[in-house]
Amino acid sequence: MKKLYLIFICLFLSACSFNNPFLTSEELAKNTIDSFIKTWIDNQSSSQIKEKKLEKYATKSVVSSLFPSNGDEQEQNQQSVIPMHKSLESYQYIKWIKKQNQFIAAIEIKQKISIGNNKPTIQELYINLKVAKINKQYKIVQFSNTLPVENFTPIKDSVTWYWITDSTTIENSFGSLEKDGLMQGIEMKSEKNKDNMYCMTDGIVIVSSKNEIVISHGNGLYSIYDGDLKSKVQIGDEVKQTQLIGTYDKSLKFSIKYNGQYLDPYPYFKNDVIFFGLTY
Amino acid sequence: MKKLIITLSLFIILSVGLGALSYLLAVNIQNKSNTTDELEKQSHVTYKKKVSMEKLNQQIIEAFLNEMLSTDYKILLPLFKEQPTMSRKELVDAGDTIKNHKTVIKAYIDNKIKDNYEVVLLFSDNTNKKLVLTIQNGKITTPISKLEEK
Repeated sequence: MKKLYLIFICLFLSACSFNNPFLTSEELAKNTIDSFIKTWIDNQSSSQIKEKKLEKYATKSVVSSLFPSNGDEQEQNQQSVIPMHKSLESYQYIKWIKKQNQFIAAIEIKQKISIGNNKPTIQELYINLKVAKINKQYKIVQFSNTLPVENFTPIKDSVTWYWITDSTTIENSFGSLEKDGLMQGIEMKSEKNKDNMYCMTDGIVIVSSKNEIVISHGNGLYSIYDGDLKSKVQIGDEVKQTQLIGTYDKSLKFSIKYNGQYLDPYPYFKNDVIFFGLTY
Repeated sequence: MKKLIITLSLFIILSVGLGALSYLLAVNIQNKSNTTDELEKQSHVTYKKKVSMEKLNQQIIEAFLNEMLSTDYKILLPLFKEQPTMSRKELVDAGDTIKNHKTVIKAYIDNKIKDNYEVVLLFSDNTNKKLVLTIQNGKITTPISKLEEK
């Protein structure tokens, strides 16, 4: 009789664990990719990897680890990778941007790189890796190296800004290549062809047109909304954080300028971004 | 034997029931979380207040000075009342010309008389350039071409 009870208890416990509601397939995939990325980054800082050409290492390992079974897809993704330089040093952080049933991962790696053999110069760059769920498969949607903005930390830790649109899908990240050069902001696509734009923090509208809204937030900080806009604010309007300032069609370029230099807006929107690992 | 069957049935019902309950609870939590996110986005403030013209003009001159520290001058042209049609490259040329093709290390207001702002651009080679800008109704009325003059 006791044995039977034990069996029932085991059955009961297994039934409960089988229905564990907190482990969805997406989370499982996310965890897998996350642990993979961490391993990849940890490996980067090892002396063994330093000697290798990161260009080859990054493309092959990233793609083959995420998509081990599909050869055609690997080739396709490899072609879209922008070549990287020999690099060293370790990562700064990994972040995930969640949007309903899909998410995007972006690693930003602050590195010091040497270019050329005779006169090596040191500069810094970031690497963005974005993984999104497309047609039930996780795919690399972007892998690029970007130039950073220097001195962009002084206001980071003291602010919490409100995310500026309904959409959290970033089509092009800060530093992505565009036809005029590197993108000095981020680009969002409209999901409803008329997405709302919100004010990230209190300020005064100094430019308002059908192409551009510029808000001065004081102390040399400006937010710039660029696209096909329908503005709901006018020059001289005092605007508050979370205030609806207009709508945009198709796509929106959003930039933050601080003392004449552009900042990557990503790290500042903590409510929409989950940080893993180290911070800047 | 009867007791055993009843106990068995009770355990099965209990385990299935609790499993279902935990699943429903999780779905509910997830839905609530989504709803909260949506509500947060919908709860934007509606606020309508104009700043004084003096404060607005001050913001415009500060924006101009900040653009002098920049190299792409993205928000320079919209600050002017008369906005000549310029390509991106032409705008950069105009901005650079205002700065005498030098690097500005400091830009500040030297004096203000009514709507006229006297500003100084201090360059990296220790030289400087003085400009007088007139700002009315939140727009710089001095033509951009006039600022390009040495």
